[in-house]
Amino acid sequence: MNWFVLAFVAWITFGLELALGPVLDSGSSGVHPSMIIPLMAFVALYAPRKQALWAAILLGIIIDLLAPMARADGGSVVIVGPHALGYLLGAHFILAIRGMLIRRNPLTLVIISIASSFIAQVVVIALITLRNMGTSPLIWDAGDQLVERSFSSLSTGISALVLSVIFFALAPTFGFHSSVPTRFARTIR
Amino acid sequence: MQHQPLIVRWSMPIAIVLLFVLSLAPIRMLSWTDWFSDQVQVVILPIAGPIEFVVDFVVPPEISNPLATQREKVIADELDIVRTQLLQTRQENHRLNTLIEQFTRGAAIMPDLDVRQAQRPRSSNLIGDLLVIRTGKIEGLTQGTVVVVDAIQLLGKVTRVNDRVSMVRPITASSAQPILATILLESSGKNQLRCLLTPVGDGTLIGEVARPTTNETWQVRIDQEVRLLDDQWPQHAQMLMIGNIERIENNESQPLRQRIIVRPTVADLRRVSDVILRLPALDQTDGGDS
Repeated sequence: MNWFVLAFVAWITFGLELALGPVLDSGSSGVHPSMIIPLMAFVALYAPRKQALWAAILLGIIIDLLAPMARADGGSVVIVGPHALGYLLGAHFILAIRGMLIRRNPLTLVIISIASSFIAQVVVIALITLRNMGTSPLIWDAGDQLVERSFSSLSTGISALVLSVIFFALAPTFGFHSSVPTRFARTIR
Repeated sequence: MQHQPLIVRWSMPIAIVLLFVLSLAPIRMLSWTDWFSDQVQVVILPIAGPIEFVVDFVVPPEISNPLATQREKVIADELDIVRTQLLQTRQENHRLNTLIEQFTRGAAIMPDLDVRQAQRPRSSNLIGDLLVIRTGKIEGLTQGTVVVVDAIQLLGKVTRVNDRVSMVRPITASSAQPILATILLESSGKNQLRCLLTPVGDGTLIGEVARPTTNETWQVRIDQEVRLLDDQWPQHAQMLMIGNIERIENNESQPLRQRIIVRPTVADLRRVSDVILRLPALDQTDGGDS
Protein backbone atom coordinates (compact mmCIF):
# COMPACT_ATOMS: atom_id res chain seq x y z
CA MET A 1 0.00 0.00 0.00
CA ASN A 2 1.22 3.49 -0.84
CA TRP A 3 1.25 5.31 2.49
CA PHE A 4 1.77 8.73 0.88
CA VAL A 5 -1.43 8.40 -1.12
CA LEU A 6 -3.26 7.26 2.02
CA ALA A 7 -1.88 10.25 3.96
CA PHE A 8 -2.97 12.69 1.25
CA VAL A 9 -6.46 11.18 0.91
CA ALA A 10 -6.78 11.08 4.71
CA TRP A 11 -5.77 14.77 4.89
CA ILE A 12 -8.55 15.75 2.47
CA THR A 13 -11.02 13.45 4.23
CA PHE A 14 -10.25 14.96 7.63
CA GLY A 15 -10.81 18.38 6.09
CA LEU A 16 -14.21 17.20 4.87
CA GLU A 17 -14.99 15.73 8.30
CA LEU A 18 -14.30 19.05 10.06
CA ALA A 19 -15.88 21.31 7.43
CA LEU A 20 -19.06 19.31 6.82
CA GLY A 21 -19.66 18.38 10.47
CA PRO A 22 -21.60 21.54 11.45
CA VAL A 23 -23.55 21.53 8.19
CA LEU A 24 -24.61 17.89 8.21
CA ASP A 25 -25.20 17.86 11.97
CA SER A 26 -28.22 20.15 11.75
CA GLY A 27 -29.07 21.72 15.08
CA SER A 28 -26.05 20.49 17.01
CA SER A 29 -27.68 17.15 17.76
CA GLY A 30 -24.38 15.27 17.59
CA VAL A 31 -25.64 12.99 14.81
CA HIS A 32 -23.55 13.36 11.66
CA PRO A 33 -21.95 11.00 9.17
CA SER A 34 -18.28 10.17 9.48
CA MET A 35 -15.98 10.64 6.50
CA ILE A 36 -13.08 8.79 8.07
CA ILE A 37 -14.85 5.50 8.76
CA PRO A 38 -15.49 4.85 5.02
CA LEU A 39 -11.79 5.51 4.35
CA MET A 40 -10.80 3.10 7.12
CA ALA A 41 -13.27 0.52 5.77
CA PHE A 42 -11.98 0.98 2.22
CA VAL A 43 -8.38 0.40 3.34
CA ALA A 44 -9.38 -2.59 5.45
CA LEU A 45 -11.21 -4.02 2.45
CA TYR A 46 -8.20 -3.95 0.14
CA ALA A 47 -4.92 -3.53 2.02
CA PRO A 48 -2.75 -6.27 3.54
CA ARG A 49 -3.81 -7.20 7.04
CA LYS A 50 -1.05 -5.53 9.04
CA GLN A 51 -1.11 -2.31 7.03
CA ALA A 52 -4.89 -2.10 7.32
CA LEU A 53 -4.71 -2.46 11.12
CA TRP A 54 -1.97 0.19 11.45
CA ALA A 55 -3.90 2.54 9.17
CA ALA A 56 -6.98 2.10 11.39
CA ILE A 57 -4.95 2.85 14.52
CA LEU A 58 -3.39 5.98 12.99
CA LEU A 59 -6.73 7.32 11.72
CA GLY A 60 -8.25 6.66 15.14
CA ILE A 61 -5.41 8.46 16.94
CA ILE A 62 -5.90 11.53 14.72
CA ILE A 63 -9.65 11.50 15.48
CA ASP A 64 -8.79 11.29 19.20
CA LEU A 65 -6.44 14.27 18.85
CA LEU A 66 -9.07 16.31 16.99
CA ALA A 67 -11.90 15.61 19.45
CA PRO A 68 -11.15 17.09 22.89
CA MET A 69 -13.65 16.02 25.53
CA ALA A 70 -15.50 18.40 27.83
CA ARG A 71 -14.43 18.35 31.46
CA ALA A 72 -16.81 19.03 34.31
CA ASP A 73 -14.69 22.03 35.38
CA GLY A 74 -15.28 23.78 32.04
CA GLY A 75 -11.99 22.81 30.38
CA SER A 76 -11.27 20.08 27.89
CA VAL A 77 -8.91 17.13 27.63
CA VAL A 78 -7.51 15.14 24.73
CA ILE A 79 -7.76 11.41 25.41
CA VAL A 80 -5.70 9.30 23.03
CA GLY A 81 -6.89 5.73 22.63
CA PRO A 82 -10.66 5.22 22.51
CA HIS A 83 -11.14 5.93 18.80
CA ALA A 84 -7.84 4.25 17.89
CA LEU A 85 -8.90 1.04 19.61
CA GLY A 86 -12.44 1.34 18.25
CA TYR A 87 -11.22 1.75 14.69
CA LEU A 88 -8.79 -1.12 15.19
CA LEU A 89 -11.63 -3.44 16.19
CA GLY A 90 -13.76 -2.12 13.32
CA ALA A 91 -10.93 -2.85 10.85
CA HIS A 92 -10.43 -6.29 12.40
CA PHE A 93 -14.10 -7.04 11.82
CA ILE A 94 -13.79 -6.11 8.14
CA LEU A 95 -10.61 -8.18 7.77
CA ALA A 96 -12.43 -11.17 9.24
CA ILE A 97 -15.29 -11.02 6.76
CA ARG A 98 -13.73 -9.51 3.65
CA GLY A 99 -13.18 -12.90 2.04
CA MET A 100 -16.95 -13.29 1.80
CA LEU A 101 -17.66 -9.84 0.36
CA ILE A 102 -18.06 -8.52 -3.16
CA ARG A 103 -15.40 -5.87 -2.78
CA ARG A 104 -16.08 -3.82 -5.89
CA ASN A 105 -19.71 -3.14 -5.04
CA PRO A 106 -20.28 0.33 -3.46
CA LEU A 107 -23.03 -1.15 -1.29
CA THR A 108 -20.42 -3.39 0.33
CA LEU A 109 -18.56 -0.28 1.52
CA VAL A 110 -21.84 1.19 2.76
CA ILE A 111 -22.74 -1.87 4.83
CA ILE A 112 -19.29 -2.48 6.29
CA SER A 113 -18.90 1.24 7.07
CA ILE A 114 -22.13 1.19 9.09
CA ALA A 115 -21.18 -2.05 10.87
CA SER A 116 -17.56 -1.09 11.61
CA SER A 117 -18.63 2.39 12.72
CA PHE A 118 -21.10 0.86 15.16
CA ILE A 119 -18.42 -1.48 16.52
CA ALA A 120 -15.94 1.39 16.86
CA GLN A 121 -18.47 3.61 18.63
CA VAL A 122 -19.41 0.86 21.10
CA VAL A 123 -15.72 0.49 21.98
CA VAL A 124 -15.36 4.28 22.41
CA ILE A 125 -18.45 4.47 24.65
CA ALA A 126 -17.30 1.47 26.72
CA LEU A 127 -13.80 2.85 27.27
CA ILE A 128 -14.86 6.39 28.15
CA THR A 129 -17.67 5.15 30.40
CA LEU A 130 -15.17 2.87 32.14
CA ARG A 131 -12.69 5.69 32.71
CA ASN A 132 -15.46 8.03 33.86
CA MET A 133 -16.60 5.70 36.64
CA GLY A 134 -15.98 6.92 40.15
CA THR A 135 -14.73 10.50 39.98
CA SER A 136 -16.61 11.47 36.74
CA PRO A 137 -14.29 14.28 35.62
CA LEU A 138 -15.80 14.31 32.10
CA ILE A 139 -19.22 15.49 30.92
CA TRP A 140 -20.41 12.17 29.58
CA ASP A 141 -23.75 10.36 29.38
CA ALA A 142 -23.32 6.85 28.00
CA GLY A 143 -27.02 6.50 27.11
CA ASP A 144 -27.16 9.73 25.12
CA GLN A 145 -23.87 8.91 23.44
CA LEU A 146 -25.10 5.47 22.44
CA VAL A 147 -28.16 6.95 20.75
CA GLU A 148 -26.17 9.74 19.05
CA ARG A 149 -23.39 7.48 17.86
CA SER A 150 -25.76 4.74 16.68
CA PHE A 151 -27.60 7.22 14.46
CA SER A 152 -24.24 8.66 13.36
CA SER A 153 -23.18 5.14 12.35
CA LEU A 154 -26.33 4.75 10.28
CA SER A 155 -25.82 8.13 8.62
CA THR A 156 -22.22 7.13 7.85
CA GLY A 157 -23.74 4.84 5.21
CA ILE A 158 -24.70 7.91 3.19
CA SER A 159 -21.19 9.37 3.28
CA ALA A 160 -19.78 5.93 2.45
CA LEU A 161 -22.00 5.72 -0.63
CA VAL A 162 -20.77 9.10 -1.88
CA LEU A 163 -17.13 8.50 -0.97
CA SER A 164 -17.12 4.99 -2.45
CA VAL A 165 -17.28 6.52 -5.92
CA ILE A 166 -14.12 8.54 -5.19
CA PHE A 167 -12.28 5.79 -3.35
CA PHE A 168 -12.94 3.14 -6.00
CA ALA A 169 -11.78 5.54 -8.68
CA LEU A 170 -8.59 6.19 -6.70
CA ALA A 171 -8.01 2.51 -5.83
CA PRO A 172 -5.18 1.95 -8.34
CA THR A 173 -3.16 4.85 -6.88
CA PHE A 174 -3.27 3.27 -3.41
CA GLY A 175 -1.18 0.38 -4.75
CA PHE A 176 -2.93 -2.38 -2.86
CA HIS A 177 -1.17 -5.70 -3.38
CA SER A 178 -2.91 -8.21 -1.18
CA SER A 179 -4.36 -11.57 -1.98
CA VAL A 180 -7.55 -12.21 -0.10
CA PRO A 181 -8.64 -15.84 0.13
CA THR A 182 -12.32 -15.97 -0.75
CA ARG A 183 -14.75 -18.51 0.53
CA PHE A 184 -16.68 -19.31 -2.60
CA ALA A 185 -14.50 -18.20 -5.52
CA ARG A 186 -10.94 -17.92 -6.69
CA THR A 187 -8.51 -15.81 -4.68
CA ILE A 188 -8.83 -12.11 -5.42
CA ARG A 189 -5.60 -10.24 -6.19
CA MET B 1 8.81 -19.23 7.84
CA GLN B 2 9.35 -15.49 7.74
CA HIS B 3 11.45 -14.13 10.62
CA GLN B 4 10.83 -10.56 11.69
CA PRO B 5 12.71 -8.53 14.32
CA LEU B 6 11.22 -8.81 17.79
CA ILE B 7 10.18 -5.15 17.86
CA VAL B 8 8.22 -5.53 14.61
CA ARG B 9 6.46 -8.67 15.81
CA TRP B 10 5.50 -7.09 19.11
CA SER B 11 4.77 -3.57 17.86
CA MET B 12 1.03 -4.14 17.41
CA PRO B 13 0.39 -5.73 20.85
CA ILE B 14 2.52 -3.03 22.49
CA ALA B 15 0.57 -0.29 20.68
CA ILE B 16 -2.76 -1.83 21.74
CA VAL B 17 -1.71 -2.08 25.39
CA LEU B 18 -0.35 1.47 25.31
CA LEU B 19 -3.57 2.85 23.79
CA PHE B 20 -5.65 0.95 26.34
CA VAL B 21 -3.58 2.36 29.20
CA LEU B 22 -3.81 5.89 27.75
CA SER B 23 -7.57 5.54 27.36
CA LEU B 24 -7.92 4.90 31.08
CA ALA B 25 -5.12 7.14 32.37
CA PRO B 26 -6.09 9.93 34.81
CA ILE B 27 -6.62 13.37 33.25
CA ARG B 28 -3.69 14.93 35.14
CA MET B 29 -1.37 12.55 33.26
CA LEU B 30 -2.68 13.55 29.82
CA SER B 31 -1.59 17.18 29.57
CA TRP B 32 1.16 16.24 27.09
CA THR B 33 -1.47 15.13 24.55
CA ASP B 34 -2.38 18.81 23.99
CA TRP B 35 0.91 19.32 22.16
CA PHE B 36 0.18 16.48 19.73
CA SER B 37 -3.38 17.76 19.29
CA ASP B 38 -1.98 21.19 18.35
CA GLN B 39 0.37 19.67 15.76
CA VAL B 40 -2.44 17.65 14.19
CA GLN B 41 -4.58 20.80 14.01
CA VAL B 42 -1.73 22.67 12.33
CA VAL B 43 -1.71 19.98 9.64
CA ILE B 44 -5.47 19.41 9.24
CA LEU B 45 -6.98 22.90 9.62
CA PRO B 46 -5.39 24.39 6.46
CA ILE B 47 -7.38 21.97 4.30
CA ALA B 48 -10.54 22.33 6.41
CA GLY B 49 -10.53 26.12 5.87
CA PRO B 50 -10.94 26.13 2.06
CA ILE B 51 -13.51 23.34 2.23
CA GLU B 52 -15.48 25.34 4.82
CA PHE B 53 -15.30 28.36 2.53
CA VAL B 54 -16.83 26.33 -0.29
CA VAL B 55 -19.42 24.81 2.04
CA ASP B 56 -20.42 28.26 3.35
CA PHE B 57 -20.73 29.45 -0.25
CA VAL B 58 -22.98 26.52 -1.17
CA VAL B 59 -24.93 26.42 2.13
CA PRO B 60 -24.72 29.96 3.54
CA PRO B 61 -25.14 30.23 7.30
CA GLU B 62 -28.42 31.83 8.34
CA ILE B 63 -28.29 35.40 9.61
CA SER B 64 -30.64 36.95 12.17
CA ASN B 65 -32.76 39.03 9.78
CA PRO B 66 -31.87 38.55 6.13
CA LEU B 67 -34.24 41.30 4.98
CA ALA B 68 -32.70 44.07 7.09
CA THR B 69 -30.56 46.66 5.29
CA GLN B 70 -27.02 47.37 6.40
CA ARG B 71 -28.10 50.62 8.07
CA GLU B 72 -30.95 48.90 9.91
CA LYS B 73 -28.54 46.26 11.15
CA VAL B 74 -26.13 48.92 12.43
CA ILE B 75 -28.95 50.75 14.24
CA ALA B 76 -30.29 47.48 15.67
CA ASP B 77 -26.79 46.59 16.90
CA GLU B 78 -26.40 50.02 18.52
CA LEU B 79 -29.79 49.66 20.18
CA ASP B 80 -28.84 46.24 21.50
CA ILE B 81 -25.55 47.57 22.83
CA VAL B 82 -27.25 50.50 24.60
CA ARG B 83 -29.88 48.22 26.10
CA THR B 84 -27.20 45.83 27.28
CA GLN B 85 -25.30 48.70 28.86
CA LEU B 86 -28.49 49.88 30.55
CA LEU B 87 -29.20 46.45 31.95
CA GLN B 88 -25.58 46.03 33.00
CA THR B 89 -25.73 49.39 34.75
CA ARG B 90 -28.84 48.34 36.63
CA GLN B 91 -27.23 45.07 37.55
CA GLU B 92 -24.11 46.95 38.59
CA ASN B 93 -26.25 49.27 40.74
CA HIS B 94 -27.80 46.30 42.42
CA ARG B 95 -24.36 44.78 42.96
CA LEU B 96 -23.01 48.04 44.37
CA ASN B 97 -25.94 48.34 46.74
CA THR B 98 -25.22 44.83 47.94
CA LEU B 99 -21.54 45.70 48.18
CA ILE B 100 -22.24 48.78 50.33
CA GLU B 101 -24.28 46.60 52.60
CA GLN B 102 -21.41 44.13 52.72
CA PHE B 103 -18.93 46.92 53.42
CA THR B 104 -20.87 47.92 56.43
CA ARG B 105 -20.59 44.36 57.68
CA GLY B 106 -16.91 44.17 56.86
CA ALA B 107 -17.26 41.83 53.89
CA ALA B 108 -14.54 41.41 51.26
CA ILE B 109 -14.22 43.99 48.52
CA MET B 110 -14.65 42.87 44.91
CA PRO B 111 -12.51 44.98 42.56
CA ASP B 112 -14.30 46.71 39.73
CA LEU B 113 -13.78 45.30 36.28
CA ASP B 114 -12.92 46.73 32.92
CA VAL B 115 -13.19 44.83 29.67
CA ARG B 116 -11.52 45.23 26.30
CA GLN B 117 -13.01 43.56 23.26
CA ALA B 118 -11.18 41.97 20.36
CA GLN B 119 -12.75 40.64 17.18
CA ARG B 120 -11.12 37.52 15.75
CA PRO B 121 -12.13 35.14 12.94
CA ARG B 122 -13.38 31.61 13.56
CA SER B 123 -10.79 29.40 11.97
CA SER B 124 -12.60 26.10 11.91
CA ASN B 125 -14.49 23.58 13.98
CA LEU B 126 -13.21 20.53 15.78
CA ILE B 127 -15.14 17.32 16.18
CA GLY B 128 -17.71 17.74 18.95
CA ASP B 129 -18.90 21.34 18.50
CA LEU B 130 -15.68 23.11 19.52
CA LEU B 131 -14.89 26.29 17.56
CA VAL B 132 -11.26 27.07 16.78
CA ILE B 133 -10.42 30.78 17.06
CA ARG B 134 -7.26 32.28 15.59
CA THR B 135 -5.80 33.80 18.74
CA GLY B 136 -4.53 32.51 22.04
CA LYS B 137 -2.33 33.18 25.04
CA ILE B 138 -0.38 35.68 22.95
CA GLU B 139 -3.35 38.10 23.32
CA GLY B 140 -4.08 37.29 26.91
CA LEU B 141 -6.78 34.65 26.49
CA THR B 142 -7.27 32.24 29.35
CA GLN B 143 -9.53 29.30 29.99
CA GLY B 144 -12.92 30.82 30.75
CA THR B 145 -12.58 33.94 28.56
CA VAL B 146 -16.07 35.00 27.47
CA VAL B 147 -16.81 34.95 23.74
CA VAL B 148 -19.72 36.78 22.11
CA VAL B 149 -21.03 37.33 18.61
CA ASP B 150 -22.99 40.27 17.14
CA ALA B 151 -21.79 42.48 20.01
CA ILE B 152 -24.00 41.03 22.74
CA GLN B 153 -25.06 37.48 21.82
CA LEU B 154 -23.27 35.15 24.22
CA LEU B 155 -21.46 32.40 22.32
CA GLY B 156 -19.59 30.53 25.04
CA LYS B 157 -16.39 30.23 27.00
CA VAL B 158 -12.85 29.41 25.96
CA THR B 159 -12.16 25.85 27.10
CA ARG B 160 -8.58 25.46 25.90
CA VAL B 161 -5.89 27.95 24.99
CA ASN B 162 -2.66 27.49 23.11
CA ASP B 163 -0.21 30.20 22.10
CA ARG B 164 -1.92 31.11 18.83
CA VAL B 165 -5.25 29.25 18.76
CA SER B 166 -8.00 28.65 21.27
CA MET B 167 -11.08 26.47 21.48
CA VAL B 168 -14.53 27.75 22.39
CA ARG B 169 -17.46 25.61 23.52
CA PRO B 170 -20.80 27.21 22.53
CA ILE B 171 -23.52 27.47 25.18
CA THR B 172 -25.76 25.33 22.94
CA ALA B 173 -23.30 22.41 22.71
CA SER B 174 -24.70 19.31 24.35
CA SER B 175 -21.54 19.04 26.48
CA ALA B 176 -21.85 22.66 27.71
CA GLN B 177 -22.74 23.27 31.35
CA PRO B 178 -26.16 24.63 32.42
CA ILE B 179 -26.38 28.39 32.89
CA LEU B 180 -28.49 30.57 35.14
CA ALA B 181 -30.46 33.16 33.21
CA THR B 182 -33.07 35.84 33.68
CA ILE B 183 -36.14 36.44 31.54
CA LEU B 184 -36.96 40.09 30.84
CA LEU B 185 -40.75 40.24 31.11
CA GLU B 186 -40.80 43.63 29.39
CA SER B 187 -38.19 45.51 27.38
CA SER B 188 -37.30 47.84 30.28
CA GLY B 189 -36.17 44.81 32.26
CA LYS B 190 -37.95 45.99 35.41
CA ASN B 191 -39.59 42.64 36.08
CA GLN B 192 -37.52 39.51 35.67
CA LEU B 193 -37.86 35.78 36.27
CA ARG B 194 -34.96 33.40 36.87
CA CYS B 195 -34.38 30.06 35.16
CA LEU B 196 -31.67 27.43 34.79
CA LEU B 197 -31.05 26.67 31.13
CA THR B 198 -29.61 23.38 29.91
CA PRO B 199 -28.49 22.79 26.31
CA VAL B 200 -30.78 20.36 24.52
CA GLY B 201 -28.40 19.44 21.70
CA ASP B 202 -30.45 20.88 18.85
CA GLY B 203 -29.19 24.46 19.06
CA THR B 204 -31.62 25.47 21.82
CA LEU B 205 -31.62 25.59 25.62
CA ILE B 206 -34.39 24.40 27.89
CA GLY B 207 -35.21 25.38 31.46
CA GLU B 208 -37.90 25.72 34.07
CA VAL B 209 -39.04 29.15 35.15
CA ALA B 210 -38.83 29.87 38.85
CA ARG B 211 -41.75 32.08 39.92
CA PRO B 212 -41.08 34.27 42.95
CA THR B 213 -44.65 35.58 42.96
CA THR B 214 -48.15 34.54 41.98
CA ASN B 215 -48.70 37.92 40.32
CA GLU B 216 -50.68 37.14 37.16
CA THR B 217 -49.23 40.14 35.31
CA TRP B 218 -45.85 38.41 35.31
CA GLN B 219 -46.46 36.37 32.18
CA VAL B 220 -43.82 34.45 30.27
CA ARG B 221 -44.37 34.94 26.55
CA ILE B 222 -42.78 33.83 23.31
CA ASP B 223 -40.02 36.15 21.99
CA GLN B 224 -39.16 37.56 25.41
CA GLU B 225 -35.45 38.09 25.89
CA VAL B 226 -33.40 35.79 28.08
CA ARG B 227 -30.10 37.09 29.43
CA LEU B 228 -27.21 35.74 31.44
CA LEU B 229 -27.23 36.23 35.19
CA ASP B 230 -24.93 33.59 36.62
CA ASP B 231 -22.25 33.93 39.29
CA GLN B 232 -20.23 31.21 37.58
CA TRP B 233 -19.59 33.65 34.73
CA PRO B 234 -17.43 36.79 35.01
CA GLN B 235 -19.06 40.03 36.13
CA HIS B 236 -18.62 41.69 32.72
CA ALA B 237 -20.59 38.88 31.05
CA GLN B 238 -23.73 39.40 33.12
CA MET B 239 -26.81 40.47 31.15
CA LEU B 240 -25.40 39.37 27.82
CA MET B 241 -28.04 37.95 25.50
CA ILE B 242 -28.65 34.19 25.61
CA GLY B 243 -31.57 34.27 23.18
CA ASN B 244 -35.31 34.64 22.81
CA ILE B 245 -38.04 32.34 24.06
CA GLU B 246 -39.02 30.18 21.13
CA ARG B 247 -41.55 27.89 22.82
CA ILE B 248 -43.31 27.52 26.17
CA GLU B 249 -44.33 24.11 27.48
CA ASN B 250 -46.27 23.11 30.54
CA ASN B 251 -44.41 20.85 32.92
CA GLU B 252 -46.69 17.89 33.66
CA SER B 253 -44.88 16.90 36.83
CA GLN B 254 -44.92 20.49 38.16
CA PRO B 255 -47.92 22.39 36.73
CA LEU B 256 -46.90 25.67 38.40
CA ARG B 257 -43.52 25.69 36.66
CA GLN B 258 -43.44 26.47 32.97
CA ARG B 259 -40.71 25.10 30.76
CA ILE B 260 -39.19 27.44 28.19
CA ILE B 261 -37.15 26.69 25.10
CA VAL B 262 -34.68 29.45 24.24
CA ARG B 263 -32.97 29.91 20.88
CA PRO B 264 -29.98 32.26 20.44
CA THR B 265 -30.44 35.21 18.10
CA VAL B 266 -27.79 33.73 15.81
CA ALA B 267 -29.24 30.67 14.08
CA ASP B 268 -26.20 28.40 14.46
CA LEU B 269 -23.53 29.45 16.94
CA ARG B 270 -21.09 26.95 15.46
CA ARG B 271 -21.01 28.63 12.05
CA VAL B 272 -20.32 32.28 12.87
CA SER B 273 -17.53 33.84 10.82
CA ASP B 274 -16.20 36.21 13.50
CA VAL B 275 -16.34 36.27 17.27
CA ILE B 276 -15.69 38.97 19.84
CA LEU B 277 -13.53 38.11 22.82
CA ARG B 278 -14.24 39.95 26.06
CA LEU B 279 -10.87 40.21 27.74
CA PRO B 280 -10.43 41.80 31.14
CA ALA B 281 -8.30 44.94 30.91
CA LEU B 282 -6.98 44.20 34.38
CA ASP B 283 -5.98 40.88 35.89
CA GLN B 284 -9.05 39.35 37.42
CA THR B 285 -9.86 36.14 39.20
CA ASP B 286 -13.61 36.23 39.53
CA GLY B 287 -16.15 33.44 38.94
CA GLY B 288 -15.56 30.97 36.18
CA ASP B 289 -12.08 32.09 35.23
CA SER B 290 -10.13 29.82 37.46
